[in-house]
Amino acid sequence: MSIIEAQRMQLAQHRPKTSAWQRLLKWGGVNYMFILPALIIYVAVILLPILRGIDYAFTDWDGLNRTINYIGLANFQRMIGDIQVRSAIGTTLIIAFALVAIKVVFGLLLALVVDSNLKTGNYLRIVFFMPVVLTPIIVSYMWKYIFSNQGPLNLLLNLAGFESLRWLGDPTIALISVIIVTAWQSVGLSMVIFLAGLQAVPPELNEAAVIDGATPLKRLWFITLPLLAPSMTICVVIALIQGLRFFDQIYALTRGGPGYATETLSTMIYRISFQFGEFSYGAAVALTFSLIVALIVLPVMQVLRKREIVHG
Amino acid sequence: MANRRYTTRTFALEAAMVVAAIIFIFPIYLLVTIAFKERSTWSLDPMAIPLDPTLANFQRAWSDAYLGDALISSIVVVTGSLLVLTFVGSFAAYFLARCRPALSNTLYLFFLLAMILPFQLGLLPLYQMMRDLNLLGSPVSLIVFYAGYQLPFTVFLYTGYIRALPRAYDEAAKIDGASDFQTFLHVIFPMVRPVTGTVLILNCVFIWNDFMTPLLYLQGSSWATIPVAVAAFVDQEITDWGIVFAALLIGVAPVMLLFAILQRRMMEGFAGGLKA
Amino acid sequence: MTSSVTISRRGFLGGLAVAGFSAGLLSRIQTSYAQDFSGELRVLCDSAKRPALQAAVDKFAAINPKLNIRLNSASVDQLMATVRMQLSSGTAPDVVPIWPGGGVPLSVHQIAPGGFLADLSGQPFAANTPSFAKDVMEVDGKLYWFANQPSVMGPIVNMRVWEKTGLAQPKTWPEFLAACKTLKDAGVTPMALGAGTQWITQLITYSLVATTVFSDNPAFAEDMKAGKVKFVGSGWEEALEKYMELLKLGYFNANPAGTSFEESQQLVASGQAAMAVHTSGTMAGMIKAAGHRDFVMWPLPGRDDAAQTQVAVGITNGYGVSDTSKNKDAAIAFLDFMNEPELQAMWAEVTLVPVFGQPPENTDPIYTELMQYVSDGKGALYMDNKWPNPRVQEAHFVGVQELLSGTTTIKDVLGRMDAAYAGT
Repeated sequence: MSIIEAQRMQLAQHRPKTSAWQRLLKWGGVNYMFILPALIIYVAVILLPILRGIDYAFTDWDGLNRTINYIGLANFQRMIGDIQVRSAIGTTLIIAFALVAIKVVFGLLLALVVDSNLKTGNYLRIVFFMPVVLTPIIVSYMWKYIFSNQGPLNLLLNLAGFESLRWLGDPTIALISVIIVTAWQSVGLSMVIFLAGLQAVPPELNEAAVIDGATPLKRLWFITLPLLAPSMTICVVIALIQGLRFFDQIYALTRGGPGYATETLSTMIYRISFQFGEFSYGAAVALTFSLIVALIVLPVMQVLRKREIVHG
Repeated sequence: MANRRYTTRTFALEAAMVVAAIIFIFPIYLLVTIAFKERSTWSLDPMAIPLDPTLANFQRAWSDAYLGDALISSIVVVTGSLLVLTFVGSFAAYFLARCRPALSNTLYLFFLLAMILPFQLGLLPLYQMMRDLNLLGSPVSLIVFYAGYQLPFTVFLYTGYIRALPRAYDEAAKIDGASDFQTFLHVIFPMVRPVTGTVLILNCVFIWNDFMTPLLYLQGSSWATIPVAVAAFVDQEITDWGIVFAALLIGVAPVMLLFAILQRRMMEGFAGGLKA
Repeated sequence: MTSSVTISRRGFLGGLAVAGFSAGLLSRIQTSYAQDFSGELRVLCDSAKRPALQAAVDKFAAINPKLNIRLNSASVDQLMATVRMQLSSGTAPDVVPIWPGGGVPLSVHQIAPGGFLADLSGQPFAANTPSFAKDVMEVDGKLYWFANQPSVMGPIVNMRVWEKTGLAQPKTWPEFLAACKTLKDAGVTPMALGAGTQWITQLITYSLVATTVFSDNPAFAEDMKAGKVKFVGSGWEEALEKYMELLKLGYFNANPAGTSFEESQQLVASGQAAMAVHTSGTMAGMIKAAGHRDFVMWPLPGRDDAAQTQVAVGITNGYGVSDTSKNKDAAIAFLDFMNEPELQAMWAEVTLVPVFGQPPENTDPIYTELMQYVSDGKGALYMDNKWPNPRVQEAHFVGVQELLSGTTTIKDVLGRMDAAYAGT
């Protein structure tokens, strides 16, 4: 066998192999190097840690021990009897649904008003949106002062001839105060989402309706609102997820108090895992929490999406 | 529109809205003014305009809360995270937008998992991973965290936009002999500048404002970010709200400034970006 | 374990002999600290201790120029949440804050058994350990941390307000209530209560149970561990009833469960309120806020018989050395250095709290009477020090907040504390 022949043989042997590899490389359509860094980061930083966290929910780890024992469903059984967790679930749901209602109603109203022919419309939208970008923990400390016994809010009440209110000290009012702060900070977000939706409403539709003699209210109900359905979906879903997850405001304002009146699942998980050091129990509560979020958010998305199709 | 005349009713509505806006923005007014007041002033009348403003509160807050260090730390974390997110995110999006649809859909769902799975569950295991990589106590740990946590959102944002770009651009570049990377960097990336703006703004605000992660990851290091440093300062039982408010104001000033410059872009970004 | 806990001044000042160095000895020791330590030394403390620790760090840095010392601080809540995780990950700073007993996440009895802290039993300051606190400071006879101050609590009284009413110091519970009434009638809030800040909720209970529980049974904590007594049906009930009596009679500021510690301190400092039951650790802040030093901390009487009155006393948080520290020698040397009389004196000056190893006449007059109780053996150790887990304290915090809001009963709160104690 001559050297050249040998080389040719080698090449022939290699060719199908190389091309299979190349075919695989080509199969995706784009160089895999584009997606590789993202996949690595995503798997390493998000996926694997979460899977490991789920694993912890079935152990007795306290964050300190060097040995970890599997204890089956014991953490979940304990949770069923835990009044604090149950009350936190209730509080979380109340806050989440209250926030959804407030943000959708007021966000929509603001969007409609700001989008009408007001001269100050542009300034108004800036004012109502501004709190959205501000740091929640910092804004919450500011509100803590506003709510304090001799703070501005009670001063104003007194000036108007009313008694001071226990803004953060009464279980019911404290819950409302926390909702006020969060709504204040995020209603502007709903507003701009609805505003973007309003841009998509073709003016001809409204003009035609005016010619047909439809009242403004009817136009709102039969033309604008149905066309805003996609914005509505986004708004509700974002408000719901935010409402179920928020943490900073409670950390700064009440730390869950008085008693457990404003303790939500996210502050509860923080407390269990990091202040009691019961990491595995915290993981079990977190896992349950995310199931609850999924159980609420996914059906809501389904319902809203259906509405979109019917009207759109 | 037909009904766009400015009537007395419109004026009444306008007046009502202006009043509502003033009430709405009043807390921000307090945030700014109380920071300039001495104790004797704010405790008597917290709402008055400070006629005799003092800067002493800012000096105290700046040095006692170590806000200078925190500011640098926050800037390092935000800049680093944005760099990684922009490049890794847009690269991945280019792949998703241009690859075989079956693969694209699968990967899309794969990235969507992050939105459903609870990130709190991953906090501690990730912390252990950072320790094993010897990254704890350094801002790199946070950059890595945000690069992962904000990645799906960033990828979705870019993908939607790149999909809408005609493939003719890519093909023209390839005919000229450009590689995939050259095509992306020289043709596609410049064209997605509007999304890059949105990506930068949204991620910047989110990362700057985040409190819980840096609280857990940078504790005891010299890299506490602004929200952590401010919270630690306010929590140490200070009775002078003037100083507290000075710290709060310094803490939000950068985002306020950003908003003052970019309000339009930011509102558009938030309205459109969160749809992704 | 010592079951009858008598706290004496001798117990407190056990380290006096060791700490009282002569000047010559001092200079010799100071040069011995200036070994060639190098590298990085990370020190972590709670924000309130920062001024005192900063001074110590600066001085230690001056004699160890090659050592790069970084001092960081955070609020107690933040420390509790993170330092455990850092210790278990081997990423903790070299010097970490540690609490006595077993009742909070960073208690020495929770941390040391896992081998996370260096054994400091051989260090000179080990001799300072007051005998009354041995079992909450030491773990299995070994010392793992440096703590240099007691903590006491009681009503911090603004004497400028008190003297205006011409009242005498109340020595019994009825006298205390009568004094509160006089104050209230004079238009002053008798007691400021900032129970919106969680840890404040426990102070009045602790001050009262020192008398209502421990004057009857000094070994209550040990009996509880043995399962002989419970919170329900004990003097704890009496204490919480008296706490709520103060609420019902309107002797607190309005909205106590929604008032923060800062607000309550401000009320006393400004003279709107006459007193607040706080710890000695808050005294420096009170004086700073008030701009004068006319304060005194009294024992809080808890019964009709003045002879039964006792005070609550404990150990403040201190500092341990992480077992995984890469600069362990330097870290230990730093703790030894803080034990120097000069440093201790400075510490006492900055924090306004008595320091172990200081002669009694150096105790600030603010505490004279209270410390007399301590040296007479009428001190009861802070209750949470001997609790098995952080959930008991939590149940107490939350329970008091709910009592103040009227949403629960005393029996229910104590029942929950018993359940938490049992670990269910």
